[in-house]
Amino acid sequence: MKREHLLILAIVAALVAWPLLMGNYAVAQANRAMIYALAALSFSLLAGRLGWFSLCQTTFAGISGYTVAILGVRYGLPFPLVVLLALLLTTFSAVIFGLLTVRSRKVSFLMLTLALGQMVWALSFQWVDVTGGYNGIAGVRMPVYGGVDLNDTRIFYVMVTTVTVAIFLAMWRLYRSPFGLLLLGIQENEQRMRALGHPVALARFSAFVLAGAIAGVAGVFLVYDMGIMSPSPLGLGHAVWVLTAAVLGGYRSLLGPAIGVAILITLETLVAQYTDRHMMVIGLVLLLSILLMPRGLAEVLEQRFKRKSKPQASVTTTTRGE
Amino acid sequence: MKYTKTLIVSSVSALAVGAAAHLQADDTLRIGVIGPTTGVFSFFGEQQRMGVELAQEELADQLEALNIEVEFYDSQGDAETTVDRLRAMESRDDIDLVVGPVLGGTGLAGLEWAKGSGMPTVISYSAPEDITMRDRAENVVRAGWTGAQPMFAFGEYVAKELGYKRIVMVGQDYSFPYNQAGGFMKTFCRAGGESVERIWHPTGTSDYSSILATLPDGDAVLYNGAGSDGLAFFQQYHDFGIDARMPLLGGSNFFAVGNLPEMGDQAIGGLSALQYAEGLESDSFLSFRDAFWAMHGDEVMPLAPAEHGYVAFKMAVSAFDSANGGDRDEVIAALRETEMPDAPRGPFHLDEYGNPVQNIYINEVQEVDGRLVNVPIRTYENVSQFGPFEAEEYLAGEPDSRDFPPSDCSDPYYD
Amino acid sequence: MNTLYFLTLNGLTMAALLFIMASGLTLAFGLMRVVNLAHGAFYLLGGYVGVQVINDTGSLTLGLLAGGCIALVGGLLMERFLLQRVRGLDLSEALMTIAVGLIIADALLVVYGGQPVSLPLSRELRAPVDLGVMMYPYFRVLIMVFALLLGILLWLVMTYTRLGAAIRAGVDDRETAMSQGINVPLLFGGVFAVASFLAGIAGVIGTSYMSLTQGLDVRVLMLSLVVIIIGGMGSLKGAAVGALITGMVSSFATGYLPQFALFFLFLPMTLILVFRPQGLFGRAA
Repeated sequence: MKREHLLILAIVAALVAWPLLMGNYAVAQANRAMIYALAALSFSLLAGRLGWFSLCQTTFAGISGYTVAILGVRYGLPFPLVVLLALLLTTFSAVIFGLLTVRSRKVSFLMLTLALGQMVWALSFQWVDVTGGYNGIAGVRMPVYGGVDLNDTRIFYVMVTTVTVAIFLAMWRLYRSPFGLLLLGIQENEQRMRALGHPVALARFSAFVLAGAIAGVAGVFLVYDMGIMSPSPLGLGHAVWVLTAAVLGGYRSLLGPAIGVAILITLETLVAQYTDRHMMVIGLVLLLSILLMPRGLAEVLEQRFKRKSKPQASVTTTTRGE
Repeated sequence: MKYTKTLIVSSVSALAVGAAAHLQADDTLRIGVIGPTTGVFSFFGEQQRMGVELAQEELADQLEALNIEVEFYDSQGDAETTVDRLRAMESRDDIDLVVGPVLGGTGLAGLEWAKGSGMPTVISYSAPEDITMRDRAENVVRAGWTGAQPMFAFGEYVAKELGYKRIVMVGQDYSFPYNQAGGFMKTFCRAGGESVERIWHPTGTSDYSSILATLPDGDAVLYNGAGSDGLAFFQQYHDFGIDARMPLLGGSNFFAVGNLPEMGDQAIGGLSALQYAEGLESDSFLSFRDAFWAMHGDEVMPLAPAEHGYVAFKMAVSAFDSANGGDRDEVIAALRETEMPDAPRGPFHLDEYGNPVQNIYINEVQEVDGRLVNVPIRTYENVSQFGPFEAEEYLAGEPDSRDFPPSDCSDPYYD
Repeated sequence: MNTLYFLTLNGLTMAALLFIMASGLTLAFGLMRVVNLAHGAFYLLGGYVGVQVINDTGSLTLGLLAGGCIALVGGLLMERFLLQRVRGLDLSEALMTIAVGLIIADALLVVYGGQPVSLPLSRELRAPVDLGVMMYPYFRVLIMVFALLLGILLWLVMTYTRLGAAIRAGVDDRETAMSQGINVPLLFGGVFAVASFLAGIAGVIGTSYMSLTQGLDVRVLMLSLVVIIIGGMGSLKGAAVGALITGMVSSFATGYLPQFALFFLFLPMTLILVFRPQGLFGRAA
């Protein structure tokens, strides 16, 4: 068996063992971690493959969450329909955002996504008739199917884990597919890819929409996990949190964002016992990650373990701006 | 193989940590206090914490006798964090009763969670009325108030005592101010008022000059909001000299939660209504205030969130006391029976929905011993969350919203 | 008619403040492709320190200088010790400024608490003056005058001095400018410091009517970004026009449709993005 398959097996085994061995809170924490791992994956798909740093991936999660809350609580639509519509609407908003941002590069992309994300955040605050404003919409629950309460922490865990693992596996395939390689190629040398006849703009746009849809899945789980949808997950704080996790873990590798999220959540839980300065902690983690290991923890670990294997295709994401 | 090894090692060690956390001995009762001690609303969380600490000190012997421990949690003023901390309280830290949350949105998130968990919960300052009305839960009671509650008294006072007929109300656009407006209008219009024109602005607006430029005429302006929005509005209202044309009244939090020193002398004479006043002169209040100052220093004025935290904690301890231990149903039953004859704010008891029936004070900002305080100039006793209305009648009515109740007092709704 | 003048003046005041914020931000961006996302935190820093100095000394001038200088020091330290380590990696630089912004804002929360703060101005400054068309508070007039003078000064420096020529050369084509012996990194350090100084001053000025509070840093940063996206990143003229558009839209929207004020605020930006992504005065990428 290949090393990679072993790794996958080990992760799946750990995910199966976790709820059997741990208490309720640890399982709830794992749920949250996987939801945020999806959000961070959505961020990393753009940052690692395209060199596009987005501050609006949590916004897509928020749009999806609001759709679930509004359709489910206000209009009482059935659960599968609600989820389907939420994902559709999120994908649709990713299409719009994609059209607005597809022409921008690097830092201006960062600024645009920041501005657009904050615009939606402002809207969620202000459009009180629809979003409930600051207080949000409470009472978002999953249904009970045949005596099985989907809201139960452990049953929820099974759902989140299944979907998260499936999405990560799909991304694993995608990163190696011609499409994934094309994205890397675009990041490295856009002109050449264009000269070779690749549909550069379309590929970039598709990646953006795909990333939005993944964030949408995270949003669906997020809102059912919290039971309430309020503007705070759309705020800048959450966007930076996800970004920090991805940078810490390493947004270029597949597992990096998940590792980053796990570390950050553990760190927050530990730090919360000693200090209230969690924003400062996030800021410091981000700062130190950039200074000390710009390629992220995942690659640091990888280099430790992989001695003889072939070197990764070198990727220089951030060249001098022009 | 190394991966597998690492994974096994790390999961085993994680397991050990988890197990250790679970092995807490269990005849201890634990009270978890949650509030925003960081972030924009940290003032509220800090006040609550100081109030709880004072109660802890006063009840030290009782806490020891009952074997009660206290843990503080930071909600960051965020619904998601609140839910996470509440989960940690229940399944990690073995908490038996929750005091808090403090803010509106976190209160609703806390309620949502408490419904699922059944945890006895004493909501402190958080004021959405549905917590003890349409969405009430058996295990959730409140030590504080609903948004409309003090405004029932204020509406009547403004119409009858001040004789104002037409009010222009500028407010933050979300449900708490809607609820304050609702309470105000329901009594104001029935006590002789003519109209209340509402202007809603987004929360977080910092420049009010253009709202002031287009302000309609009336007998007075009521600013229905608080915090930095309230301070900025107050400042600009005076910059443009509108105070010379129309007096400025405040929503319940406008003068009451910490902005007075920044407002300065211009605030003197400002009127608002709340179930609390730091200018009270009753014995129970003065001893509370002096003890608070002795503990936290007299540069910090104990305001309503501090008193509500203090009282909520005392409610919790006395519920454990009369339930004689941690049996959940008995604790909840005891909580719902709460009577506080000597609370600092004045006597109160809970109604059958779990919200205090209490004094409402009409407060005027005055300078006392060199600092600005809210001094009660009129007391309305035994005001419930339904004001002058019957509970069933009130609950059957439409909930307050951006444009309900109607602006025009001659509307048939008020008949 | 009076209302119209009133709303226009309000819009101009806001535009003035936005211009003070955005001018430095846009120049620094033009020169080094670095967007300082801690700009809002510098506003907050300057504001808190400035107000404290004014409260302690009673001198408005000292307060303005203190607010500007503390932000300047912050900007210089960040530039020297952090940004230079990742120079050239423009995204890393941007992320670093986010981190610094978070740390500064949280540190300010520790020192100054979460309660909003206002600026104690003397009665003379708050008193209205006659502008011919209507009475308007004196200090608001001063804010407009200050921004106007700043705009003229920046324009003069950029157009007529060697320093300005060097900056323009750096903005136009950094490589060529460097090959001609212009020390672009040093220049950048200078522009960055001035930008931070202006953000700090803006913090004190803005507090004269908007109360200073946690969270305002992000709002102010957002507005500055909107301004330079509209005007075109790197363009001083763009910052001025962007500030005017944003200020006016905000004032009239707040006056007539307060509930949708924020929506209207972002509308011009969205339109610009669709029809002219490089901004009104920006050069096409």
